[in-house]
Amino acid sequence: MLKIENRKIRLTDDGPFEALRILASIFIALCATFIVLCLVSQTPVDDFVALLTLPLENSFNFGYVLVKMVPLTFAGLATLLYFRTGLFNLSTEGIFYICGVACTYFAVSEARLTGNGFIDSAICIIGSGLAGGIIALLPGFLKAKFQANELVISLMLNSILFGIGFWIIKNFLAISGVTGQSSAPFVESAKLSIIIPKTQVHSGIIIMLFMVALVYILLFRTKLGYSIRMTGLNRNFAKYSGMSAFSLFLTVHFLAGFLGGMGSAVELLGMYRSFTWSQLPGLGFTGALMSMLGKDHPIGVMVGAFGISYLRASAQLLANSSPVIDIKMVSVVEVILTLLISSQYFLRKWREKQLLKEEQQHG
Amino acid sequence: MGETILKLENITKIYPNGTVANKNINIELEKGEIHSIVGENGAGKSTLMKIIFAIEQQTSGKIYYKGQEVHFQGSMDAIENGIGMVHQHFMLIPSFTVAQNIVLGSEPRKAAFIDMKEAVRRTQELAHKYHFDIDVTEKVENLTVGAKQKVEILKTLYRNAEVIILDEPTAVLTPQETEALFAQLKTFKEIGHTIVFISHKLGEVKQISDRVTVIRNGETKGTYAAADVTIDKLTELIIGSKLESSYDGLKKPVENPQLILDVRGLSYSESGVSKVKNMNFSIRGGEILGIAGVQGNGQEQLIRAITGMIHFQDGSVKLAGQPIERLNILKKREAGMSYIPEDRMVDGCAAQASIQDNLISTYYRSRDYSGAVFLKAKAIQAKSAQLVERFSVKTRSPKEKVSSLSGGNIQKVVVAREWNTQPKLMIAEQPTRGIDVGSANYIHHQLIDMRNNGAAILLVSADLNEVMMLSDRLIVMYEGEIAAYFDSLHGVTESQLGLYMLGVEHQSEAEIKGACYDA
Repeated sequence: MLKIENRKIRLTDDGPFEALRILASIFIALCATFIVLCLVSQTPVDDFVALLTLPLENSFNFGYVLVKMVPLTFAGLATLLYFRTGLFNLSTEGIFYICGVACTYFAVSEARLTGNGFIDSAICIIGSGLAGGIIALLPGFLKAKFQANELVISLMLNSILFGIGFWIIKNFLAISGVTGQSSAPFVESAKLSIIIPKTQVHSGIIIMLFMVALVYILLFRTKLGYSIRMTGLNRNFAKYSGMSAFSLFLTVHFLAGFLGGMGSAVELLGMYRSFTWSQLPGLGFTGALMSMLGKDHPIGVMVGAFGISYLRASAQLLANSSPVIDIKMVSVVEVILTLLISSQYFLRKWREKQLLKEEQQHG
Repeated sequence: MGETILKLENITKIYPNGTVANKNINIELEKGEIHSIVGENGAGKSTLMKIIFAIEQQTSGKIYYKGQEVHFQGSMDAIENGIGMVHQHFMLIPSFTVAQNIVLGSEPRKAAFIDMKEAVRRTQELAHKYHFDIDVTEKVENLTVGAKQKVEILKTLYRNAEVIILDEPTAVLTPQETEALFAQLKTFKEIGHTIVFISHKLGEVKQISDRVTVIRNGETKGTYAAADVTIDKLTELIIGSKLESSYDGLKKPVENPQLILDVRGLSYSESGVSKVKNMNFSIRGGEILGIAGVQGNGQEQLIRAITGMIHFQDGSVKLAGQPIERLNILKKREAGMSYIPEDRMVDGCAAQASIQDNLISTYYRSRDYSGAVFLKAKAIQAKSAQLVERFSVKTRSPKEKVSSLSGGNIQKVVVAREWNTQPKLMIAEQPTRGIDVGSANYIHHQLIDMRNNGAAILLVSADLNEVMMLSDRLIVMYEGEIAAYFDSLHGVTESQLGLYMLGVEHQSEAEIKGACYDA
């Protein structure tokens, strides 16, 4: 007989326990932050309170948190697809850069656009996504065909993509008379519009929410998502069951590249007036961090991106007002958080003790 | 009675996912006895052994060793205190000699160097003392399975083990090798060693042990003197109900059997070494063809070649008349092939995925369970609930992870999935290895049921008893070839098969030819 017991939800169950672990991790990370603040600041308590509450002070600050989380979420979603397939690919970093260039190609020229705001943004974002998808097929093919190590390839690829992207900007898209490298300004109709007045929050956040839902559905409701998950959990099992790793690897690379490209375009069109990246933006690597924090789950990635954005935004705001605080300080917190949340053994002893107690009570 | 050497008192172990593996286990081992521990898979034997060996920590309870309460800090500590364990899967370095393997980790030294001469001398002395007939300068890779096991046992003796735990030691041995092992174990006993014998083979348990402890659902169900308890009684204690000892009565003749699998001239070599040599055999529907043989004689490669897990160099494979050797795994499955793989954890399941996800992996593409893009969640849920119930998989819900199940239940999930496509050909490779009597019996029934419904079944097993009980026809493989073929199992004995398995005897071409039906 199949017995499905109706039991009370307990803290030791998988879901609630995970939530408890994350809360405990955040608590420990905050304690560490306080200690660091004590070392660098004259007024550690005030600064600590400021760090926690600054983003909530006014709508502009909070909006700053929201826009900061958009590219992080996109990068996280792209990396999540790789991780779920069992591929440790970090090429989202380079994809972000080169797709920014692709987006700029469309966004700076009225000749390539229609003048309609919606369509123009879509052309830039989808064009950038396609560029990302097609470029990501390269490491995908090398992996699928030659079993090349995707980590090594993706790191090399990042440098190559940066070099090519920078060369294109410098030779074809740059304008003179500006300090540093900058493209011509984006056409107004291509830019994403502000959706909450008096903040920087642009329509990209809606696209982000949409993509989170889409990736969720892809992973858990479609045939493709099923084969992604099974291949990631046990590649032998997937092969044995008749799934083809070759086509799956190519598909996943294309989709992840597309997401990366979209994220890059959304960030540029929402936050920038022209393309000014003169180095890798660092968003791709943060994608790996997001995926780990979010436990390879699309909603987890979004929540993780919000948390990290909150921290980074408040550190930035704090640094603006207090010269002793270095914004780099928050990376300490990020590292502690990631370490604790991704470590399997954290709080395990406690859980075992609770389980023993329950067992003794119920016999 | 002798003095107590190892005593487990109220041992309880709860895993982080809430699984209660052991519950108030009490066992006393006496010096100089052979003590068997029997129980279904998932009953908690392995966990208990891991606790004794300090690989796992008990959640509560005490262990007394030689009268003192002990808390071993890891397996090294347990070994130093005189507890040795021979694992089911050998932990030896193939390219090292016997002596090197035995002294590994506690080598005799001369200044900063290992004194190899001394190592050879000591191991030779040890082998001599315990009457092991083994050349300690031979490389382990050249040894038979039985000899490798001897090396494992010598390893524990070299470390002065007083209590030796043997986990399923006879699972990989031929009947002749088993006899030799038992003679050896009796010598140890006389010298004063304590042997813990874990096995699913109750006949052997009764033959070799002084006392037997039964574990069911993580609890001890009593310790019995082996002489006073019958096998039927033990079976009843282990699973809580009775089992039949022969399947002959269950088999029904199938009318008009079709030729399902036809293998001709199949050869496969791996980095220049020939593993399967010109194999010819065929199976009709409603028939179980067994393949017996000592592990490592090409059975594994033969199955992987037929199922498409590896590419073979020469030969043809037809499934119901259709050549399938060039098809990929998906197409082979669509043509009507199912496959229970040898190692359920490597190929047979994704342990971290839910039971439900594991139950559909081979047919989720079919119209019933998915559209062009989306999975049909309701149909999948209904199907997996149905399979879980039909195959009595012990779980709270099909949404639980497969890793939370015991070995026997994981195997049931694999069999349920492979059964569900109603295959023409079922390839069952070690379908009950390392699982409990109850689950094994259940799986046997399913295979016979499929056979009665007209499926052709290719059964490979290292367990001679299993092959002999299930098969209608039988092939013995030795060094990649068919060494013997029997078109009926009536009157065939284990020791007769043993001679073919060890390569002592070989049938003539004409006799072996019977394995093929004329097309």
